Amino acid sequence: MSEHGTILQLKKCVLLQDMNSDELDAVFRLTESEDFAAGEEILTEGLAYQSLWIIVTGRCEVVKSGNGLEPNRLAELEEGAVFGEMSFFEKAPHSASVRALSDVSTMRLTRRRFEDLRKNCPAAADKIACNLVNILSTRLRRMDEWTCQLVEGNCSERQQGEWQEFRAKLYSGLQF
Amino acid sequence: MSSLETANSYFEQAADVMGLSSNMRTLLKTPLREVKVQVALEMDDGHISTLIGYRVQHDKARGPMKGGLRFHPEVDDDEVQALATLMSWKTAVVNIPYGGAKGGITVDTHKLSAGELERVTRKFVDEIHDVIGPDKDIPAPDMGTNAQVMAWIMNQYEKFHGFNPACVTGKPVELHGADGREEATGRGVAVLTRTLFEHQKRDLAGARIAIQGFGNVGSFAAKFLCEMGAKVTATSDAHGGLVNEEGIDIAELIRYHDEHKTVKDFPGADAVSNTEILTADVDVLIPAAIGGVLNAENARDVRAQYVIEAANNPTEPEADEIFEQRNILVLPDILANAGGVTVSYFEWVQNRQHFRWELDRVRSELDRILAAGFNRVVTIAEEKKVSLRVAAYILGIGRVGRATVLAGL
Repeated sequence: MSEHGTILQLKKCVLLQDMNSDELDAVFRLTESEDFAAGEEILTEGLAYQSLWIIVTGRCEVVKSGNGLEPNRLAELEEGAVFGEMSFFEKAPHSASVRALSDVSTMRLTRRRFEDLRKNCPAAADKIACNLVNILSTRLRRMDEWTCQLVEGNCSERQQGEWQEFRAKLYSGLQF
Repeated sequence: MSSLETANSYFEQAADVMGLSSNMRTLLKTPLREVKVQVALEMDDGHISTLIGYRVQHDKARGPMKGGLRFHPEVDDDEVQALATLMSWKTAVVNIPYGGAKGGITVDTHKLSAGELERVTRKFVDEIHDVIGPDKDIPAPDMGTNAQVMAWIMNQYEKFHGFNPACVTGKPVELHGADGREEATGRGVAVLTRTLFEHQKRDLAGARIAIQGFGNVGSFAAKFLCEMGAKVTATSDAHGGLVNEEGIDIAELIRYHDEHKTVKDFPGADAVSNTEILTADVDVLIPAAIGGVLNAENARDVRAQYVIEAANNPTEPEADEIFEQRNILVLPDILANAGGVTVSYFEWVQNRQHFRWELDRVRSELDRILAAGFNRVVTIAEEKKVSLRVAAYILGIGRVGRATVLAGL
């Protein structure tokens, strides 16, 4: 893909929203292109690389190993998607693995290059940071909803049902 | 069948009619707390005896828990739990603001001296005083315990917690006890028998009555039934039975029993065996001794038309079914013997008010409460087309259930 084509693809990326062409160009200069064959593991759960990957072409899957069980597929990522963001700010092991489903072409921004970007083009670095916060907060909100549903589904919903039924029986018909 | 199996069987019958889910049944049946303690005792001859004491607190949704303390060689975990559960339904049936509890020590009091009995009682209080009290759990007399034992309990409890006579009921009248407490269970049995006869449009005067057991409950029931015009034609205690078709002179028998500590060889009646009492040719049979005496083996031979359960759990479920088939009407224990706990409640109220009621007031309040319980049970039995026992359990479980859902978990 031509440089221009790659920049156009990057522009679609959620991480690089609201950037003007100078800022996009500054980011592009600091990223490295990396290609993977279908089935290849790009990022391994438990290891820690402080980098962001943007999928330029191809598809990937996010897989989390179960406790001795079959691995769990958490998500499928398409062009324009970002991964590696959780370990990017906090140097901690990746919470899941990312594997190429097709031949994949990515752009990688390492944490060190991001620091260079902060010096050279703080506006672009700021936008990346804001977009990352958006990505993470959206995910956190979804997690909160899941947790609530899980808790309600497992106890309070069923318990309230039984409790309500018990109450209804005690308050219908007979006088105590 | 154990007391616990009997109690559970009746609970399940009522729960089936009420359509309760299995989780709600478990919630209602499971005791809140079970305490089992060592009661170490130095005997008069110097040797050390280690006894086991129990207190089971079944339910407190309707108020502080209430129940007797039984000193008997057959006391065990199962029996105490069954009786604690029964107390929850019983206090609810008569609508007094208590939950249910029961306790006991596995001991034969006949083998203890007065000093040993006192030391056992005080030691037991030492072990359980933290979990009982006027707002938590209030013990009362039961088999093998009496007003004197309650006085020791109060005194020992007060050593830890200060003056508080409402911590136990069934105390001597001279020591914050209530007039009418001693007679209460027996009197309640008599009053309810009369109420049942009125409901059945029958005359109690001249009705023939057999009472198994001539202890506190049996003797007072006999006394009041005679005053109401009925004839006690058969009675018994652990040592033997008596029959007199013309009616036994109960006042005379009470005097004889006070002197000889048994009804055996009473000159005013013919001697029969203890078990023959249960199949005597009478209108009303009142088991007033131990549990399980009416069972599949003798239920078909019972000749009475009415069974008034003065004892706890005297009828096993098989016998109950046979009585129902034979149209023998059973007034269940959780209503029939509720007079005792009701006057215990009056004693507790008087202790808390520091105001003594006259005997007339105790009796009239008791009559009012028992009549209300009886009427409610009969109404449920007619509406649901169930036995008086199932109706009483429905009432008890229903009231405990309502308190539970109103308070929340």
